[in-house]
Amino acid sequence: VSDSQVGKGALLAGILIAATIVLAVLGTMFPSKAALAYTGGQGLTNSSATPQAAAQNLGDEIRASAWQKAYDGLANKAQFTEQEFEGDLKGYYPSLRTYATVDHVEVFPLHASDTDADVRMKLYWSSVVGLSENTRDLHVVRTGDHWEVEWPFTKKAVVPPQVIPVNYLRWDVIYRGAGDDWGAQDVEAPHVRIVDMRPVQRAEGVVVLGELLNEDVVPAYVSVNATLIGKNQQTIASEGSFDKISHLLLPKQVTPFLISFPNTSLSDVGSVRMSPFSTLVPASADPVIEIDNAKLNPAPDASLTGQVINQSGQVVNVAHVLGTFYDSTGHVVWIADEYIDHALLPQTPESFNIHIPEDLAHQISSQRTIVATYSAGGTV
Amino acid sequence: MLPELTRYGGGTLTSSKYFGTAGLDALRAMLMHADHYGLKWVFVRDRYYDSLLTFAGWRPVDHLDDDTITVWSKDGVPPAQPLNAPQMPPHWQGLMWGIFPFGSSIVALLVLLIPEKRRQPVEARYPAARDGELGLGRMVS
Repeated sequence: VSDSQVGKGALLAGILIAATIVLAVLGTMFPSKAALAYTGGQGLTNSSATPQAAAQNLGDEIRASAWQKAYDGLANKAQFTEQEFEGDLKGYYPSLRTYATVDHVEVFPLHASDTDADVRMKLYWSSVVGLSENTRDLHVVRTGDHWEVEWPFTKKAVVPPQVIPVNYLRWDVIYRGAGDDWGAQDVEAPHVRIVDMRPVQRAEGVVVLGELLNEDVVPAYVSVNATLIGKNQQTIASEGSFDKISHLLLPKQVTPFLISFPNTSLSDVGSVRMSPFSTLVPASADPVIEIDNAKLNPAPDASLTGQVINQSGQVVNVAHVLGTFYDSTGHVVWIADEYIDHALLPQTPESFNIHIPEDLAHQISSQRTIVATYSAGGTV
Repeated sequence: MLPELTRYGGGTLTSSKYFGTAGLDALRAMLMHADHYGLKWVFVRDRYYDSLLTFAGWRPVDHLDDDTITVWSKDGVPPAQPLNAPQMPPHWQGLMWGIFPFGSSIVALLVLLIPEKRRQPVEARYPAARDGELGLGRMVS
């Protein structure tokens, strides 16, 4: 190695070191907003010179979980504490919202004057079961040279002290022993039957809809798989119902199911092979969830709205509402669902709003709603 | 790479919740296609995922390590089958990856074991080139 090569190598190393130092200094002195937000700084916050900017800043602070900063910027913060503000957004009891993060925020102006304005803020929460949308209409007031949001605080539901007797049916299962294979059972699987099934073509692909009945006298944990067979008898695709079904069926209960086959065409399908599975599981009829004020709303914005009420004394942490929609002949037209991202407290109604595709709304003449629940245990 | 992971860019499935929407979408896609991959059991230490597994058709069948780990099972999952993926390397590449990286380390160790006296005559066969002559490692400019 010659002296000139050594000199060039040292020069290159010097340039790289100098460039690294210069870039580090520039990044520290003039950080990008996105990078600053990730480090927990004040990034992504703009001046609250307009009502939309004030609402957007609040949404960004909620997204960054900067609760104190978000609370400090509210115009009506004297009406509630910071903990109540956080509880209003994330819930007071463990629920889907508790561990969810805000994926993104949208702000729409509704009305504005020189001194106040109304804006609509949509928070899209990323929970373990998917995105959930939460809409808040905010009143924004001018304070000096900037705008501040008045948070529409919802008071925490208080359940009065009471005794709720539990007299619902419960089924226990005695397994072979602790050394068994996981999930292995020596008993015959509960008898389940598909009572309705139809494949339909949608924009995203083929969708198989139907209903499954537990015709046994014991509870069953069920799931349904479907396999599309082509006209040449070749398998096109095989999918399962995943969460578009209520997996726990008590005796004589019926659940809808929906199985999606993205990027497939019904014209290629010769037949559909259905495979229902069932397993005997311990179960209880408690908690009972009552559906109240269920109502089909016509297009535009066709939907099924109503309220779910927890009739038990336990907190239901997650509720999954499944709506089955029928035509005038009683056949299943569509199945849609919604997760309630707030915990269901005893005797406390929670609203649901299930969207119905516009092109199917005119075919629907009746509906049936069921609720699947998840409880981590505990009472209020 | 599995399409469920590359589509959403969610990183590792064991820490999906830290990757936000992308991570949870990837996890859901993977659980949705459990049958394709012969995914029969899932071991979970974080109760955050319990509600997803419950609504997706998995059921707890056992608890391990003083009830800190839950074993979840899904019914009707066939045994895992080899996938005919385009990214699957041919057999000869598998042999190469199995032999050469490890083998090069073995060879390097063996070279170090050669006594220095044996290596010196080899170096002596290549005397330093005089000025004006071409030598190994030099280029004509």
